[in-house]
Amino acid sequence: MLRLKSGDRQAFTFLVNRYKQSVANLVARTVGDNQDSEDIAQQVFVQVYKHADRYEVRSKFTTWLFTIAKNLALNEIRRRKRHPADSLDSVDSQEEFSQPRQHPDMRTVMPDDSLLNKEMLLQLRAAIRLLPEKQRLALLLFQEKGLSYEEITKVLGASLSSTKSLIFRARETLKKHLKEYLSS
Amino acid sequence: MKEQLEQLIEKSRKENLSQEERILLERLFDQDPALRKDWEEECRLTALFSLLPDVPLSSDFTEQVLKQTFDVEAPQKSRLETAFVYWSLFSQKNRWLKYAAAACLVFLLSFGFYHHQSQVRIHQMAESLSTVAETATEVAVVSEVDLNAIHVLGKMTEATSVDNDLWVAMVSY
Repeated sequence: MLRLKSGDRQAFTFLVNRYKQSVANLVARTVGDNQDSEDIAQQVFVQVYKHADRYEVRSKFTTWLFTIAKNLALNEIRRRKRHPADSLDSVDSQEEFSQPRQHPDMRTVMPDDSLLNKEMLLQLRAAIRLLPEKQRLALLLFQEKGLSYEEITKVLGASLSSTKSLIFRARETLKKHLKEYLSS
Repeated sequence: MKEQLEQLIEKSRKENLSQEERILLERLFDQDPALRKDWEEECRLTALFSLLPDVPLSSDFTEQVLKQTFDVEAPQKSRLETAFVYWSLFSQKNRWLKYAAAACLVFLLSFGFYHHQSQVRIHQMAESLSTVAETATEVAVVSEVDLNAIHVLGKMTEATSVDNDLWVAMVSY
């Protein structure tokens, strides 16, 4: 990031390649679908470059990166609320699953006979989508990105206690929705 | 107890629990069997999250980002460069140039104004001379009666309303 601040384009390319998947996942799951999420993810990195001078070296880069991603994702949610007709074009969750993976990851490869897993994941995505925005964000940052509570408070701009409360409530809601899958 | 469980859950997401921590966990479960259920649900939820597939991305994602970033930057830079060139003429280093330009401008404006005023004055003087010449010619041939009439007319402009009767009498005369 220091090199980026001094205008090193190679450093910027490295950052994009390293974090693009992470950012795209966060944006898509916050917004609720893949529609426009790639464009938004690209904009995140454009903003990173544009405002590189504002980055403070003492803070973690991922905290700063996810803060920008959060802001753009929430802007998109608000934009869709103002223009609800746009959301009709959003990708169906089933279609989302059938899209071919461009970067196969061992972590995400499912056994051929794991229809139950597939069903659970569909339910998980639907349950995440039903969460209020802040709870959804807090949970995704906690569960998926592995950020600590302190890091999440910086991204959300909330207090530690309200961050913990958001995550707790989100998990309880998910457990309620996925009760039959989690207890089986 | 719940708080201890939360701490262990948070730690287990990032790394394996130590032997002591596992023993502590078992002790918590013995004290409250419902916590075991919470723990197992948490583990399954974490495992589910890890199974979520990555969102598909275009193979030229990075190229698109670079294009958007640096294509936008380039035209702005040329505008900035142009502005910088103009500004550098008036920077601290070339202050004398700024003062000289201002002085020239003031001089030119002053000279132009003076020249304009001179032309206007000459014109006015010429008009005055011609008027005086015409009047002088006319005055030379004015008769005594006319001069008296002019005198009377001058007095009349100073007359008040009280002298109106006198004015009427004089006109009828």
